[in-house]
Amino acid sequence: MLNLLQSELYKLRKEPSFRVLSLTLLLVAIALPLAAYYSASNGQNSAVNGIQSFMNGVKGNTLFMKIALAILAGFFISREYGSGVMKITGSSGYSRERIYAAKLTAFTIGIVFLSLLCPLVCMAVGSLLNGFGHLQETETAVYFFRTLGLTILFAIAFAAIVTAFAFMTKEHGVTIGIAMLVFLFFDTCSQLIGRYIPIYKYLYEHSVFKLFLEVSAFRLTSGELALSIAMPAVTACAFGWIGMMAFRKMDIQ
Amino acid sequence: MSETVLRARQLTKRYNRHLALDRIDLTVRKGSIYGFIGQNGAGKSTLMRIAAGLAHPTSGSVELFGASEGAKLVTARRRIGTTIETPALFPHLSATENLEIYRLQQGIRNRSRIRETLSLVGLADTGSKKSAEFSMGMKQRLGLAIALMSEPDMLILDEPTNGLDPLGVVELRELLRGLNRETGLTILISSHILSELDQMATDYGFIHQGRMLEQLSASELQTKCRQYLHIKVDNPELALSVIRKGLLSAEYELEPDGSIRLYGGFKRAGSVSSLLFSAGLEIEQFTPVGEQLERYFSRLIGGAAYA
Repeated sequence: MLNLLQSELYKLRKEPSFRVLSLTLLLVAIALPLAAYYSASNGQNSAVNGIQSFMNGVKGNTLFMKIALAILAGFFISREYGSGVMKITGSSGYSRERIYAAKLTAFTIGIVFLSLLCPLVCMAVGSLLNGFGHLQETETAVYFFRTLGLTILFAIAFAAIVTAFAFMTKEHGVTIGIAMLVFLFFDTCSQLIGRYIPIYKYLYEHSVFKLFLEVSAFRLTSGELALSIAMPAVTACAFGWIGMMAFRKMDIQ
Repeated sequence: MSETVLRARQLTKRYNRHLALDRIDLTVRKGSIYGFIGQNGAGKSTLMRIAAGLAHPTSGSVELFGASEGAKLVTARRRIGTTIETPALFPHLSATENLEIYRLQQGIRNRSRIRETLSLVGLADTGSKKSAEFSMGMKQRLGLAIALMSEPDMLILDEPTNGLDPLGVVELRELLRGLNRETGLTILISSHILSELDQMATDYGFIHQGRMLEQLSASELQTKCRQYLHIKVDNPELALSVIRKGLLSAEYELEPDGSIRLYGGFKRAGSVSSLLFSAGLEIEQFTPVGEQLERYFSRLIGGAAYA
């Protein structure tokens, strides 16, 4: 299993889409606080410090992470079917469960890295420009670590969902296209459907999709916090298991 | 009795209504080069994919190195190297980087194994060139290097000569023969181009429309494909005496029905008939018999032209 994971992490490091996404997010994370800094210099807005930049980075993640998930899943997972690499891995003498677990773990590490890149670099650049600062609305350290922890947790949950999907579609173009469509329009569509179907609204509001939008909230009740921890954990386990079972029975073309 | 590396028993694979494999029995002996022959879509790749663990059989079983079930069968696959259909490469990586992935995957500690394997397939000097820029022949060789990386006991090669130029085919054949001879590597190799296999294979399996038509050794096939004159005369004993005297190096067999098989008689058919005629023998039948591998296969699958 360790050998498989090492091999997957090597592939991830060498994956061009992962490198491009990392570089793009890095540039965005540098640009966001810089733009806020120059805007404040011109008297258009108040100065944005480190923790506020961190918050902006987390909010930006609701879009950036979803794009990263779709692209990386397409290239890192689904493309291996098209290139035939999955056939070599499938016949390498490791069980399907191990192959899936190694791929999921490496993909999750990649997504967690990408999801932390923007908030943390934003925070670092914001801190350099205006100091780390503090929040009026809540305890700054608690907010920082809670938000960071939840970001990681939701990244793991989304990675599990997308991995299962990417293993089933087997076409990188299809994976990227459909995942992008789902991630970009799911929330809007769900809010619309939820107006007419109350049970759907209830399910959506308790799903990782809706809960993820609340990650950067200043205050969470203990119930909301418990739900924000439990739901991504359950989602990750459920989709990890579903994906693994599906891959076990699947023929590798 | 020689050790069996791969054995398929009553292997069946159905895709919805299409029966890809129909109760196939196959045995690959240790140290053999098994030429798996069939037309496109005959079921060669399906069988190889099941053997490699990429597809699940509908019924029947596969035994690899004595293991036929569960985790033991999965682990036994660590002893095989495969290239199924197309070389599985990362186009944005160099040959060395491609092999590094499989070195890590197989837990091979010796980094120099990459260099050794690339040298073996003639790709040691490709440097940092991306595999996307490789010619088809180089890609095939890199695919073979991946299969050889873990020093397997058996290779499963599905149409490995696809896209190779004639020289590439010869090089690949020599490489595989060398590996088989020097390391005892067992090879299961498929092709729909029979001439690629007839100078290499020690055993053959003929598959058609998902059914195994025949399995035989190269020597059995040679006997079956051997060219001879089928002669039937009124006095076989006299005919043999004439043949012995007239054709000193003649190799022949007397069949139970009194007919004679005169091997290698194709080129001497004229002189043989003259000899028999001048001895006063009445010739009832005088037929050249024998076929090339292609003809044999064609006849086997029911090709009327060669029947």
